[in-house]
Amino acid sequence: MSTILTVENLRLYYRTRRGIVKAVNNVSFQLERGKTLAVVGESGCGKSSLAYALIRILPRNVHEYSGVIRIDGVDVLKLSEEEFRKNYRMKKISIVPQGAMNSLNPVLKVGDQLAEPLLVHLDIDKDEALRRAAEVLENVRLPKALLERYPHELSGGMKQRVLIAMALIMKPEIVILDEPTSALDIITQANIINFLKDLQSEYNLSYIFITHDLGVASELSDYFAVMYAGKIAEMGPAEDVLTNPMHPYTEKLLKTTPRLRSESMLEFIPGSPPDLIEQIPGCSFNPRCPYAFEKCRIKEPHMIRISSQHYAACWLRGDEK
Amino acid sequence: MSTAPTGLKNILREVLQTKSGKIAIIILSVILAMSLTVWITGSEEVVKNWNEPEYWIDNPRLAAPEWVSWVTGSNAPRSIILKPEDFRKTYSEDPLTGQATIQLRTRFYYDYNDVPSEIILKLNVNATTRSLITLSWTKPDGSKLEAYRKDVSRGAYLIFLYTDADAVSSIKSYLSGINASPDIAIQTVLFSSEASLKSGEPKILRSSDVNPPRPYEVIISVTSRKEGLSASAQLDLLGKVYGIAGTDNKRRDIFIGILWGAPVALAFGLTAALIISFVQTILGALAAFYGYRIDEVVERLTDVYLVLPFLSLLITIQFIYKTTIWTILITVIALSIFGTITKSTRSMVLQIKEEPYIEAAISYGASKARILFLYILPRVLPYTFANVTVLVPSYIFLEASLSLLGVGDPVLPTWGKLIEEAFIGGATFYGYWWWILIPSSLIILVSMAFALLWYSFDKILNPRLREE
Amino acid sequence: MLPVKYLAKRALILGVTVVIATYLTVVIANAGGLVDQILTSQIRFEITQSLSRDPAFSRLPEDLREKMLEERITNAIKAKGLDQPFIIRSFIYLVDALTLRLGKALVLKSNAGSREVADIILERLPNTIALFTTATIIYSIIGIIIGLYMTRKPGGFFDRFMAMVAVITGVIPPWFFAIIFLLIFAFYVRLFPLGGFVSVPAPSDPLLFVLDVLYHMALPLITWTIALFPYWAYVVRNIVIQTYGEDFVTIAKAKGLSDDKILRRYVLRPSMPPIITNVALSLVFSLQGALITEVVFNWPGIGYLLNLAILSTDAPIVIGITVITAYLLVITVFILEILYSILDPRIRVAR
Repeated sequence: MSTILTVENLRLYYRTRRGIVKAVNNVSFQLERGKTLAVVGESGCGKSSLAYALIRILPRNVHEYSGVIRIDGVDVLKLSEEEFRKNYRMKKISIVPQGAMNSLNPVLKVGDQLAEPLLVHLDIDKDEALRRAAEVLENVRLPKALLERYPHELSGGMKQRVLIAMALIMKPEIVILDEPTSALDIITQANIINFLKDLQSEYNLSYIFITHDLGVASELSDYFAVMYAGKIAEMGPAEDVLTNPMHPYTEKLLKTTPRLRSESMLEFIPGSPPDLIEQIPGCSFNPRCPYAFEKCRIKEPHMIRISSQHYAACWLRGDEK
Repeated sequence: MSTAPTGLKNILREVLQTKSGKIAIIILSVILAMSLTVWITGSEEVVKNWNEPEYWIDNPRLAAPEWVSWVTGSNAPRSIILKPEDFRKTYSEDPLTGQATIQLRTRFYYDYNDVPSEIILKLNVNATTRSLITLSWTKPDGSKLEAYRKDVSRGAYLIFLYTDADAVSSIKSYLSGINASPDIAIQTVLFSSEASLKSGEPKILRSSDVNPPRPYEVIISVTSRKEGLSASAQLDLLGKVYGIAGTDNKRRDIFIGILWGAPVALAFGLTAALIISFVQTILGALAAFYGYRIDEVVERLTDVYLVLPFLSLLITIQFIYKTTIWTILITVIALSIFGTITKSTRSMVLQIKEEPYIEAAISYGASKARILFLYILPRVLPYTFANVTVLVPSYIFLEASLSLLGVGDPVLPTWGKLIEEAFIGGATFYGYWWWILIPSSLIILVSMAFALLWYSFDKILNPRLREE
Repeated sequence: MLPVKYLAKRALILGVTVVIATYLTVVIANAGGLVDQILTSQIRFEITQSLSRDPAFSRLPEDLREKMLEERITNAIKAKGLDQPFIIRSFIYLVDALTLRLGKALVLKSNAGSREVADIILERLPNTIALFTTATIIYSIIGIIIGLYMTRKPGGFFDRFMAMVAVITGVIPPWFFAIIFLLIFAFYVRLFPLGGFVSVPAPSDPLLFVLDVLYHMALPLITWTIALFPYWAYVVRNIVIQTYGEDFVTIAKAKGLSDDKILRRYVLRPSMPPIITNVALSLVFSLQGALITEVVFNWPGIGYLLNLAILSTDAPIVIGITVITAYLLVITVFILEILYSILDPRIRVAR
């Protein structure tokens, strides 16, 4: 299995009136072709920032954006904006955004918006582009008639599927999904997860699935990364991480998920997630960690190897990498 | 993600902390202080007299502000008012003829570089028969002339020396007597050296031009039968500059007009802005909150109101009924019950209504009215206040525009009235700039203060639009 | 293409507005019996005039003449319905006003000599429209350009500076600027004429005439533009920035569209509907301010006519102008509604 995406020490900091927000703070991971990496964490941990950092869509007030993003061997961070736009966005890597309410241009027809990237990146005529748009609509189980409609005429679920279709229309290799199902009801959610699975096997797509919903994440993912305060706390194969969490945060997170038939009390994590401006000395989780000890408050832990693919950034797990 | 502070008090505090907010408050406090001064020091008299020419007779017409002469270094003349108490009275009798003469003497030093704009003599004569009045004028260089001679009956007289026929003839005979051109203005004649008058190029004679400096002397003689004879006089040498803001064509002190206009402008603007903003806010909130019928009605009414020819209607009403400023206020409010604030409040409340804590309140049994007033309105109030700040100047200008068209309050000296009179009096065309610019500057200052206040409000309430 | 149902509904509401505005005017004008007075005295005048020209009439004895006169007048009054109760009269006046049968002016005359109020007003109307429309187009375009420029560096110096300028000029009405500008240009720098439509005497050459008119239009246009474009730029800037922050713009970037394309299709086009709404609102306000500016510049349009009518206490014209203004506003707003419905598909397709 080959690695399609490598991220090393990715940083995205941006400026606000109150200080510098370190939304993505030295994140590193790898993604293999055809696999799904789920990135989970609480709201405000930097997941969405990570999503857009990967596709080089930065806020206006960016302070620092550095690191390595290697797609198919090429460090795309070193490319010019124009190059990246022409050759990578939509073609190699695309994104399905969160919150379908406003993600479609209200004054353009759905068909036009779907066909747009085709017309921009490929040398085909409008009819051909619309034909392909109809095709991809079919793939997401939507009727061709939607091409003529305006976004406000669609339901939330339909809009979300249009966005998925849009992300797929150029047949990219990596698809980032930023909370694609949070706004939907459970049934639609299940349907969409199923599409995504089908599409993945059919086209050998690699997904980066960002969510705060552990249940949804566990269904779809091969790999699991847990984010906390802009950094990755734990990362590994989904099975391993879910059954044998090595980071206290992961452990607590799993315990907060209600089970359908469980007698035990619902747990919660005391305290609240840190704001990404104030940097907590040592391990970011230490104020809320029940196992924190002296070293945690002083030195920030690096990723410590648990097994061949399982890492956790916690001093409990030793000293070596 | 920066969040806007909530709660009216917090927002007001934040606004006052911004630079523009502070400047605004300073300006407004000054204006407010001005207004209070006027109210306290008995302004009723001013208003009553604003339209009485007699009250202002001791001021020069169309005089520039005094500080102009400092700024340009021109040493323009200020008014010298010689009141009755400034005159020394001497009384003499002629036992043979039974006539008596009252002599009123006064003197003044004159060191300005220009002659007075007008010379006015006020005379009060009490006698049983006719009296002979003469005015003798002595300049610092010792030359003397008779400026006025007339036979009058008893009464009070107001004599404009530069147009009065008797004065003119006296001066003319003096001029021909010294072989000077007869077409020189009286003020110039009285204040120029005799030599320069003869030469045809009148040059002003100042008290300090003589060594040692000597004053001008004026002697007014009243001669009549001695029974019951009494007289008093006042001599106004009106300058070419006056006061802080100059005078208008009716001799009125523009500064007093401005002072009086301040509380009116503020009261009108604030009242209109406050009432209209609040009424529209509440109506918009009610429409959004109660929905259905009420919403429909409010929306339709708002649509109609928005396209009404507001100003034209107002003008028509004023033209036909010529009401006072407070009735104008009521009419303005009546014509503005629905408007843009209704619409924006409505959309805001529609959003707030959907929030979970409202649902929660409903479920615990809170009455609709309670929810509206305790939960929803406080969220909306800061925006209402922002609207008030931007509306106050609009209404001040509205009053001014009515005045400009001649359909404002017919009596009160509002700022709009001042500008209208200036405009009609040709201030723009003849360069009486102070007449129009000083009231204008004040209106602009007040508007700027509110605009700055609004700028701060906007910055705080809409941080997203400002983020760098 | 056009959402007929929606537009019909809007037209209805706008129509109702005109009716209400006119009715209000009529009722207010007549609350003191003013309109009745004007009309009856007009009738009296006309009948007296026509009868006095009849030679047969003047040969009749005095008391017979009186009787006949009064009879004729009373009949005429009845025929017009002027002896009816107030409600009915007000409706008669309403219908008259709506159809622009605005009666005769008391004092003023149109250039062609007509006394009809409608003629007098409609004669001056084109002047107002010419000046006002030109000014609006100019300041809108400049405002949009500057507003867009402000969005390049939000929070930057130019942006903050223009925003401050916008806020300050926003509260000051254009006619106020006009007075100040007149002072500067009339008294100090004699660059422009002091108002009016053409020089006196007017040039006979048509080309020179047009140039002369433009020369007279220059200062009003400049004043108007300076007074209004900053705030407009600010409004455009806010709308565009708000659109820019919308999710679909981020998605457009993610789709690999060029900045240029994004600007046009994803920022400007969706901004058009709110911009049009703002245009409509500002037009309503500025038209009314235009009336006063005309007075300041002596520009012979409706505003100037209004001032003249007020000074001459010519009530029918004042009332007539209010009605015509109501029509103007409604027509302008309706045109904008049509434009809006073309640009915003959310209106076009019925839900």
